[in-house]
Amino acid sequence: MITTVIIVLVILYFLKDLFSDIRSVNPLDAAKQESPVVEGKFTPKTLCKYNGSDDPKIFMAVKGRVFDVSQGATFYGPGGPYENFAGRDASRGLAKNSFELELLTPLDQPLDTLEDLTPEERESLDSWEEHFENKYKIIGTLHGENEK
Amino acid sequence: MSDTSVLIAVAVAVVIHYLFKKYVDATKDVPDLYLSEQSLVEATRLSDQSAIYKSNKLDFGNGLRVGLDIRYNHYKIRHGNPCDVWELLVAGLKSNPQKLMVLNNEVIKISELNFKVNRVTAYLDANGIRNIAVKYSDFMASIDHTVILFACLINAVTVTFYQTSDDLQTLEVDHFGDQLLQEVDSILSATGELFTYENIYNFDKDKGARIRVVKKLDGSTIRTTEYLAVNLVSNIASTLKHLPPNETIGPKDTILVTNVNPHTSLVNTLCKVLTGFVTNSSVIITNSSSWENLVSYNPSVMFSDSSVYSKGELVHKLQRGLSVVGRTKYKLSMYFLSQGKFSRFGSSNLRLVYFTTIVGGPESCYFATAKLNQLRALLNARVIVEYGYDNLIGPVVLSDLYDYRVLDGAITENLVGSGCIFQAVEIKLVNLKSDNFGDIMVRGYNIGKVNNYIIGGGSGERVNKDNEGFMLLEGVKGKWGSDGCLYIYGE
Repeated sequence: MITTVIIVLVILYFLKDLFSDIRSVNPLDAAKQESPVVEGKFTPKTLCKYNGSDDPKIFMAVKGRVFDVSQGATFYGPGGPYENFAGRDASRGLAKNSFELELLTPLDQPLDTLEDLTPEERESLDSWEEHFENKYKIIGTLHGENEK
Repeated sequence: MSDTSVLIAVAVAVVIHYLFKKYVDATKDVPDLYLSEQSLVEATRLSDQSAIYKSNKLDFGNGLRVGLDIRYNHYKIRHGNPCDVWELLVAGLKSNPQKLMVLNNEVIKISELNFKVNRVTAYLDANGIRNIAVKYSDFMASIDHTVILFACLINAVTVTFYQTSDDLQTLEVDHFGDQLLQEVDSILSATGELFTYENIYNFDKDKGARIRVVKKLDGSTIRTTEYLAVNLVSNIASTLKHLPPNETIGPKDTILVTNVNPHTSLVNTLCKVLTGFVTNSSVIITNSSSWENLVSYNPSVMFSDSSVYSKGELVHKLQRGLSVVGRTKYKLSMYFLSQGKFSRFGSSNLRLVYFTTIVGGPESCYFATAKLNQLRALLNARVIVEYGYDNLIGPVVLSDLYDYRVLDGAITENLVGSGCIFQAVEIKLVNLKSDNFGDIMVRGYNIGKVNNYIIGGGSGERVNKDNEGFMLLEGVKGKWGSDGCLYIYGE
C-alpha cells in the first residue's frame, strides 16, 4: 500500500515538473515595476535621500541645479572621496575645493547664496559647474523649503 | 520484486532526476537576472513620460553605438563610413584571394568586384556625378547594378531609389541608373582582378546622404528618407555588437541575405550585406523566399524577412518533415529551451537566423515566442527577431540571442513587437496613461532624415526638433516590461 502511494507521488512529481517546463512569463505585471524619479524641483530635504545609501541614485546640486551623478558612483557614492556631496548642495565645498562637512548647508537652513565667495572661489565653482554640465545630466533645480 | 527494491528504484530515479535538473539549471545559457534586466534605465524621467531606456550591452557612459570605432592619427577614434567597410572587405583578400560573392545565380570573385567598382568609381569622379536615381526593382538586381551601387557608396554619390519617375519631380538627380549602366557598359564588361583599395581618410567621406528612398504616400505627397554614412555604420556596429563574443560573425561564416521586398527593406538588406563585408564572411544575396532554396546555399548565418517565416507556416512545414529520430531530438531540444538552455542536436551548418519585420508595415508580423522556440529546435540554430520601423535602418527592438522565454498569452493579444533595445537608439514613452501605456519616441543614429513633399508645394520634416531629436512611432503604443524590454502594441 505504502509503495503504491510513493509511486503515485513520484509520478505526480514528474508530471508537475513536466508541466512546469511550459511556464510562461508576464513582464508587464505592473506590481514588479518601479518608477524613476520625476525631474523638476528639489528642496534640500527631498534631495538628501539620493546619496547612494538611502537610495541607489546619486544626485548633487551645484549653483542651484541638480545633477544626476549616479554614473560617477566611485567618486560621489558611499566610500568615494566626494561622498559628502551626495544628495546635498555641493556649491560651497566645490568653490573652496574642500570636502569638509561644515561647508554643507544644514538641511533646515535657507539655501546658500554664495555671496561671500572670493573671485578665485567663484572661478573654481564655475569650472566645476562646466565639468558637471559636460558630464552629467541636469535633472532639476534646487529650491528652498518655503519656495513655491 | 519486493517492495524494498521498488522503493530503492524509485528513490534512485528521483535522485537522478533531481541531479539532472540541477545540472541543467547550472549550465543554462544565461542566469535569470540577465533576462530580467535587458535595459539601462535613466534614473529620472519627465512628468507624463517614462525614463529613457537604452541597451544594456552598451559601454555605460559612452552613449549609444555610433560606428565601427576606427582608430586614426594614433589616438583618435572615428565612426567609419562605407569606404572603411570596403577597405575591410578588400583586406580580407589577403587571407582568401579567391573569396566569392553570390548574387542570385551570378557568382563573382571579390577581387573582380573590386576591379569593377574601382573603374566605375573613377568614371563617377571623372564625370562629376553626385547623385543617381535607381528603381526599387533594380536594387541588387544583377552584379552590374550592385557594382554601381557599391561604387556610389564609396564615392559619396547619393543613390535615390524610386518607384516611378513621377516620384522624382521635386528631387535633383544627375543620372538615372539605367543610363549610367549603359555609359559604363564597356567598363563593366572588362575583366580583371584588383586586390588593393586605397582608403585615405578625410572628413568628407563621413558626410552626405548615401541612400535616399522615395515613397509616394498618396496622390499628392511624397516622402523621402535620407540615410547618411553614420546611419549605415551605426547599424552595422549595433548588429555585430548585439552578439556575444562566442557567437559573433566572422570570416568562417557564410551569410545569406534575402532581398525579397526592396520596396520596404532595401536599406536593411544593404546593411546586412555590408555587415558581411565588415566581418569578411562569404556573402550570398538572393531574391528567393523559398526555404528550400535558402538552405540549399548552406549558409551559417541567415538574414531573412517575415516572408520567409510566412506567419508561422515555416514552423509547420519543418515539423511535417520530421522523422521519428528528428522528432525525438526536437522534443529534447524544446525541453532544454524551456530550461533556458540552447542545445544543438544536428549537424546543420546553419547556426544563426535573423528575421526582420517592419512594425506597422504591409508585411508586419509578430513572431510568437513559443513559435520561435520551435524554430530554434527545428533548425538547430539560434533565432533573433528584429522589429524595425519605416525610416530606421535595422530594428527598434530585437530579441536577445539567449531569450527563450515564452510570453504569457494574456499579454500577446494585439502585440506587434517586443524585445530589448537596439544599441543605436534610445527610447522613451510619452503621454503615459495610468496603465503605463504611452506613445513611443525613438532617438538614435540609425534613423533616416524624413522629408514629406507635397507635389507642387513645400516640405516638412518629420523629426520634431523641439523634442530633443526624438521621433514618434506612429500607429503603435508601447509599454515597458519589468525585464527592460519594450512591448509594442497596435492601436
